[in-house]
Amino acid sequence: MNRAAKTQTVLLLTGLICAFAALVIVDGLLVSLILALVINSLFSPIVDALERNGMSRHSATAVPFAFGFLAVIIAFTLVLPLAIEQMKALSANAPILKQRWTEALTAIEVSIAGSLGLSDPLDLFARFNSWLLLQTGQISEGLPQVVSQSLTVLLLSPFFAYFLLADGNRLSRAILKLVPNPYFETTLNLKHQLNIQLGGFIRARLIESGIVGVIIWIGLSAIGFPYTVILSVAAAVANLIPYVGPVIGAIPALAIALFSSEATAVHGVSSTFGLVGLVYLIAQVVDTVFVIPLLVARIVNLHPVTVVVSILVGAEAYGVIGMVIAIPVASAVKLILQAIVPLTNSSRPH
Amino acid sequence: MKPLWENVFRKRKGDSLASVLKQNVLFQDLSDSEIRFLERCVHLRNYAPLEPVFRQGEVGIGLYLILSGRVEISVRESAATDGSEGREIFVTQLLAGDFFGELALVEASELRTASAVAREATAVIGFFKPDLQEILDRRPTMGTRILFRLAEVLGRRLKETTEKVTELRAALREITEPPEQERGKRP
Repeated sequence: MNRAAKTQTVLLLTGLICAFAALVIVDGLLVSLILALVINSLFSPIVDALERNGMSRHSATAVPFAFGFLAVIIAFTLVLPLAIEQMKALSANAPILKQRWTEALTAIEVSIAGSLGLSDPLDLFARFNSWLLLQTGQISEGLPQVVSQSLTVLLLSPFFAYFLLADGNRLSRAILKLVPNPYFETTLNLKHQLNIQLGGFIRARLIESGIVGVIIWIGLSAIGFPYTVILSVAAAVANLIPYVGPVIGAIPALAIALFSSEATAVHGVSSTFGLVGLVYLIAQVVDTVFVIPLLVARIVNLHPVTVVVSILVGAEAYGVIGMVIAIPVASAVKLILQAIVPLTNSSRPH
Repeated sequence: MKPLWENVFRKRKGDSLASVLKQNVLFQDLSDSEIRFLERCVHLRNYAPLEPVFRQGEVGIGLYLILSGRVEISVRESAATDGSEGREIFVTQLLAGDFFGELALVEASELRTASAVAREATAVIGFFKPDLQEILDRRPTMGTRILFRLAEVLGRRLKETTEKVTELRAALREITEPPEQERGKRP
């Protein structure tokens, strides 16, 4: 590498380290950027399509943002009050649910201890309860920070996303200009592959989760189950986590079906439980048979063991958020390694 | 005999990036506004004397158009049976206005089949698969025009290669098979 290339590499690395430090230090900046990238992935095909039809890049970028803001306003005026109402109702029923849940778990615990011939109780529920309290305590303690961060994120992420969509290429070209000649093509190729794979993956998973959420909302509404909005949103968010997500998403609804008298008033406990299970099963069948093969499977080609290990590592590091971002991060690492390995081979002396 | 790689598409040189792009056979059908759009898609790179633009066997994803300077194209012989590296065989020398590496724009394997080294301080315009993809996504008509010209260039290169192979085969036949009269004289 010649002197100019070395200077360029030092400049680029310094810039990257500074940018990374800023992302870590400034509150909400990293989350804003991630959310902006998600919005960018979601909107870029629409913006490209509008541009293909003769609109300027800036006008084409403004259109999905206008519709996005409209959707947010509609969500805030129509869906949010409904969700808050359902949340209040669920909170009001929470003590009764908790009591029944405790009774049921204690009964199971006693029967297990009895069948195993244990003299001391397993104390499973107490342990679970203290874990749950710890988690909820952590959430409520961090709530003010989360709210202030959310406001920053809500303001910054659309701004970043608009800039990325309208002028992102200029920015990436300016960064690429600093890449030394020997690594230029590899870096450009890697950026392109990451754009395709991660952009496609993010779009596919969001659409997939949206479809699952809508199926569950329709299904639960059809059987007259309460809390449809919050349960379908929870299922859609949980569905972003591969393999275990659908199970996590179904647990609250199944628990309500078992222990809430309000939910089981029409069909009875066993029928309600069966119907709720059927709704979640239909959503998963539609997802597995139609949505995943069409949207997701062809985009990210990771070995199932890699997927599971990534989710476990993600969960250990960042909890639920870590589980959601585990697969895109694992895919990015795979792509980067695929790009670096041939580079190290070709850099051997000839 | 002209070297196989000699660029038959070379045109007269201009000063600005737009004029260089417009004079290139791949972009000659583009309108002025499309050339301006293309200017925002391509990459300007500078190479020091003897600095490789790319090496044979490296991953390659696009073509280079020489703005100024000189680039030498060479191919490394296959490794010898004793394990030593093959010799570098000079293929051609390219000047301002020439372009090379265009096969990588459409090839799936993405491995460079030759090496390109700057022989003096050289400025090139890089045009790569992601840039072509971006043009196809955002301006499909413009992308199709470029692709059509690219197909024409690749077709012409193939035709040239076929002609050279035919010539070489004929020459080889002359060496290995003696003429009829000589064969008749044999006892």
